[in-house]
Amino acid sequence: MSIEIIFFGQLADKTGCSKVVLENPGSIDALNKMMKIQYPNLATAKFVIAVNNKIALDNESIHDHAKLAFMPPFSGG
Amino acid sequence: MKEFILRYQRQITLEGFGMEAQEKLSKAKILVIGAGGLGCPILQYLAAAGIGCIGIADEDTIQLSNLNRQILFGQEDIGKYKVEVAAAKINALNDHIQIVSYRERFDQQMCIEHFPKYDIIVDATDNFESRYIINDACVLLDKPLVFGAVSQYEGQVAVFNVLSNNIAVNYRDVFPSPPKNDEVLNCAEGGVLGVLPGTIGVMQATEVIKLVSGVGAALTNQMLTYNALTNQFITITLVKNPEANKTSPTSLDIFRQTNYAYLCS
Repeated sequence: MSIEIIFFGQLADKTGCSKVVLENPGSIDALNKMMKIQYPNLATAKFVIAVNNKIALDNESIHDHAKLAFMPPFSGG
Repeated sequence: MKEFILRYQRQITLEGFGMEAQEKLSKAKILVIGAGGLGCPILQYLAAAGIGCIGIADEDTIQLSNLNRQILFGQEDIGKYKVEVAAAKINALNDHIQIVSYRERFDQQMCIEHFPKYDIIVDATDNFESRYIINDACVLLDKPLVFGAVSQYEGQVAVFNVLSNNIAVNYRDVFPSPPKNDEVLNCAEGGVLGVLPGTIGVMQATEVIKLVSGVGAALTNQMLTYNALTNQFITITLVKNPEANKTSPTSLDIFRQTNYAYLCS
């Protein structure tokens, strides 16, 4: 089953896409590991992950068809 | 009184707002830190709306490259201090409100000294060092914080440190520690679309007005992200992050001794 990920800000430049659909890895921890292999530039990026519009912590599980957002901190003003 | 009613007539007439909310605005004391792209529209709208006392903090002077987004300033203001021009401009807009200028950076000591005088702090700064100092000071001194930040074509708005459903989330719950220099772009490197801080700053001013007046639902424990290129607005619910306990200063003494410049480099 798949999940959908949207990349915000500079993360879209780092991954080369603004959206991706992939196989559900099951948990945030597993997703983080998988993403950093698939998109090595993410290893040097700071971001927080939201699942279905709510911030997810590292040990949380991901349900099938979830919509995820990778959001970086912005400093500009 | 007659002038008060005339000036704010369009707000007083609003159903659900009225004289009661308008009087709350006129008693409110709001500190806006940063008089740049975000600060300019925030200051303009808070002054126009009738916020009783507005503090403005910024240590910089006006540069030509500021003028694409810092709409309180004109070409004749280049080289002048932002706080001085901003204070004069909003005073000309509304001379019934009190304006306090701080021509210096808000370091830990400045926060500890001045935050207690204000009801709400607005973060309109342009760097992580200031953002973490302001966030930590608001947590320790128990002040609501209206956060706004931009990068390129996107912006974020949030209301931190306001209790709702028994939790009060702050910036450290979202990002427990500051990014390193190579992990993010700054505005000078990445650029910013001039209208974007206008949109985000106006949203911050709106959150201030809602918090003060009690009208509507503020972005408490939420973060809104806006993408100007796609017209996408996404609001994320924030949660308490156990990691934040490890990185947040637990007392004013520890806060004073924290080297934020080092943490943010």
